[in-house]
Amino acid sequence: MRFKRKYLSIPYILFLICFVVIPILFIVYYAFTNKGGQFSFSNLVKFFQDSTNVNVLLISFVYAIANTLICLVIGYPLAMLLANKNINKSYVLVMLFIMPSWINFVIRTSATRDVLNWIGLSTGEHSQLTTIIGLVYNYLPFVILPLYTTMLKMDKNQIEASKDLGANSVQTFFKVIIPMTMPGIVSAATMVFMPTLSSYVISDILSEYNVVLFGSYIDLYFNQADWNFGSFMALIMLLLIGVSVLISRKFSNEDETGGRASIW
Amino acid sequence: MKKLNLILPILLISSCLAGCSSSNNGEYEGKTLTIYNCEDYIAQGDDALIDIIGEFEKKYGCKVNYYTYDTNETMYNQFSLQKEGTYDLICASEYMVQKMVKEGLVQKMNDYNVSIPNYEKYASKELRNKLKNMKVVTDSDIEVNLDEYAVGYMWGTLGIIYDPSCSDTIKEDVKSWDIFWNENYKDLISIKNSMRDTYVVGLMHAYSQSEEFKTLKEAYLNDPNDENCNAYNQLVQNIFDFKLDGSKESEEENYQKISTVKEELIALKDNIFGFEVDSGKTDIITGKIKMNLAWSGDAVYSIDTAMEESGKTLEYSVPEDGGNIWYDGWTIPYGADKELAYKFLDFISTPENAASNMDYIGYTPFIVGDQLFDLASSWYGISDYSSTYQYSEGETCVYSGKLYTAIQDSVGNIPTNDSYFEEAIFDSSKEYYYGNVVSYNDEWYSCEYYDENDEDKGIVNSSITDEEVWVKMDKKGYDISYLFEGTLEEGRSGIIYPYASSANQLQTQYPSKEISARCAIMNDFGEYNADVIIMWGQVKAYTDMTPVYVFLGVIVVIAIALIIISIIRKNLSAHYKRLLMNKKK
Repeated sequence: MRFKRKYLSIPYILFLICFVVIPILFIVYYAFTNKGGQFSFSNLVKFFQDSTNVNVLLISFVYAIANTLICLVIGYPLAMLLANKNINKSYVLVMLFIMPSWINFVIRTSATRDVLNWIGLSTGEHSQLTTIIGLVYNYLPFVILPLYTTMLKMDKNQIEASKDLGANSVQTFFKVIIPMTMPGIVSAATMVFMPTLSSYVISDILSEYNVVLFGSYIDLYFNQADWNFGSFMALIMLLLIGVSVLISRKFSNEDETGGRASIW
Repeated sequence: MKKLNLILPILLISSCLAGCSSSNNGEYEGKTLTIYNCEDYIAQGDDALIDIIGEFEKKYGCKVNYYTYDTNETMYNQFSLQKEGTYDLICASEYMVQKMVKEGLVQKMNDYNVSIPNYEKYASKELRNKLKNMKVVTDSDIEVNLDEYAVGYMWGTLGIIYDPSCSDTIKEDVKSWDIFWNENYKDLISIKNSMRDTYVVGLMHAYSQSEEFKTLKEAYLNDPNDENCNAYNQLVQNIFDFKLDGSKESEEENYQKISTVKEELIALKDNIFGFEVDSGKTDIITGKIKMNLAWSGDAVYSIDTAMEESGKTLEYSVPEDGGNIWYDGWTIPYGADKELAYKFLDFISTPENAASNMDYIGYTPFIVGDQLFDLASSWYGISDYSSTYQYSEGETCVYSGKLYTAIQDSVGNIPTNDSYFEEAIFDSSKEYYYGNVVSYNDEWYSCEYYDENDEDKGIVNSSITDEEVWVKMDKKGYDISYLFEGTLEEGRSGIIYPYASSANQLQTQYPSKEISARCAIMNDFGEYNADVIIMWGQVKAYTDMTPVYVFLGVIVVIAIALIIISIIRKNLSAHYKRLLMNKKK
């Protein structure tokens, strides 16, 4: 038998089947069966019957959107400064921002909890604020890194050209720099938005379980041995993630007129 | 605080065990026993007085596979996914045992006299009666009781651990669950992030307000005879239980109960600091919170740690509004190696091993007997003379109404033997240490002097009237004979005379008859479990939704506006392009 190059992909395909496809099939199976294992839509009915379930989803959306926006607002100027060779001459500064993300986030979050309480921001009294702070702190590196790399690759000539043609710096920023960094913005946003939607450790620790995001809500049902309803909600989450992947692809496709740099 | 005292005698016993074991060696060679227990729920390793699992393996020559779980629900999930025969022994809480018995997952135990003689001999009759009173109707419609299916392991209560220095009135306030709703303690309280425990708080807070409850409670407190006690206890039990007769009224009542608890808990959520899984123990020590919902065993541990690490006094209380008493027991699932499982249960049911467990994990075992009684009294106070206990120098016991202190290590010498004991009468010229007890003018005093810098330092030339040093003890003592009945040395009373500073902890370790009278067992919720889970989810997720709707509304409006603008701009630029093209032409 001749060795073909595509045989190299066999381990990866096996991996994907074992750890992605089969688990998803399990989720689908549990989502549409009841405790006795019979096919039923009872979980779907249960989900939309009680407004709490939808509310938790909406709350998660709020935290995910807020986290994405705040991260972008803080991360974008920061990435610009870091990518500017005149201000930042070495890679060390970038490392300083990225380094915290190498430490396990559960440990980091527990430490954040102590720090916040120490400076007087009680995690019990200001749960929502502390949750947002924790989320932003954890996801900021995921915004800075993609933005930083796209900004490094940015075509400086276009910026100069826009200035030559009479645009002021505000116009240059909005009409030239932002469109050029759009792929970075989109990938940063997806890297923050989707994980936040399903995150729960950060909100659990930093809000003393007062803020319940969709992830911890699913966890609550799994913990009480209600696999079916938990799986149904996990499926909803999966669908939402799928939808946001599609949307973000649409965005990056629109802006990438040149060579497609996407890994997809 | 004074845990070192018992290490020596127990070490002696354990070395004997190791020695005796050689005769049995090999009997179970090559066999394995698979145990599934809660985390940190057995004396294990070098810190333990007796390394239970290691000693068992040594004694019987078998191998033990020891697995742990974090909650009963995890255990149930895991257990029901495995094939029959995976586990030989499972430790679970009473409601989970009920569920497993009902579903026919666990085997009936053989006559304890033959299978587990130590359990028959040393388990507290009082506690076993509690298990006998818990009935389960199996799926094949036979009524059985839990004692036939579970070997009791640990038990305790659910209560409030609190920092007594937090307010002047706190000692009064903790007598009622109302304290959790009290705005004076806003953001100072942590609640367990556990559905069933939190449910108890809401339930008892709501239902202890009824006239019937107050009347029965008063009647019991005024005259604690058996009849009043039973009536009171039955009422608390009725509050806990769902009515499962299937009639329409019962169903309505049950749903009413769940929605009442939901309202209570939503109100509670506003007043507390938060829910906790594991952080409560450290948070109360660091002072982040002042009160925590806790199990008695964890409370014993926290009180100890707080004292050792930061000299902080914590106390535990089971509110008088009624609470929850719980029992954990061992069950044998189908397909298990029954014989070896019995051997293990018999092994952990010896008083020595049970004492090692109590010392290591802080929870109170089902097993009673002189060793356990001695361990508790050496930690928390003094008790009647025991002929098997090794008194170390300075330890005091009660003998025919008088106090005697050992002047050298002694075991088996009666206190009137003056080469080992002397009567403990206050003598100001003597040096006294923390935990010394003396009599003076027919009153007993315990020495509470403690030098933080030098633990071995005592106090000389003290005055008995100095309340900083000498605190008068209650000569009535603390009666736990109802638990130890029939297992103590003949003539020994089941009374511990606690040091003033340890009275609360003793009460935490061994709840008095009065406390257990106001506590009921929380049975399996059965078919209502699903509804309670939904209620719990609603409570956890409850929050003011207005800002959420406003935020999302604004975002949607902005998004729509952006889309419209971009469409207009596209059209406009297309329009200009066309204009330009036309001009070129």
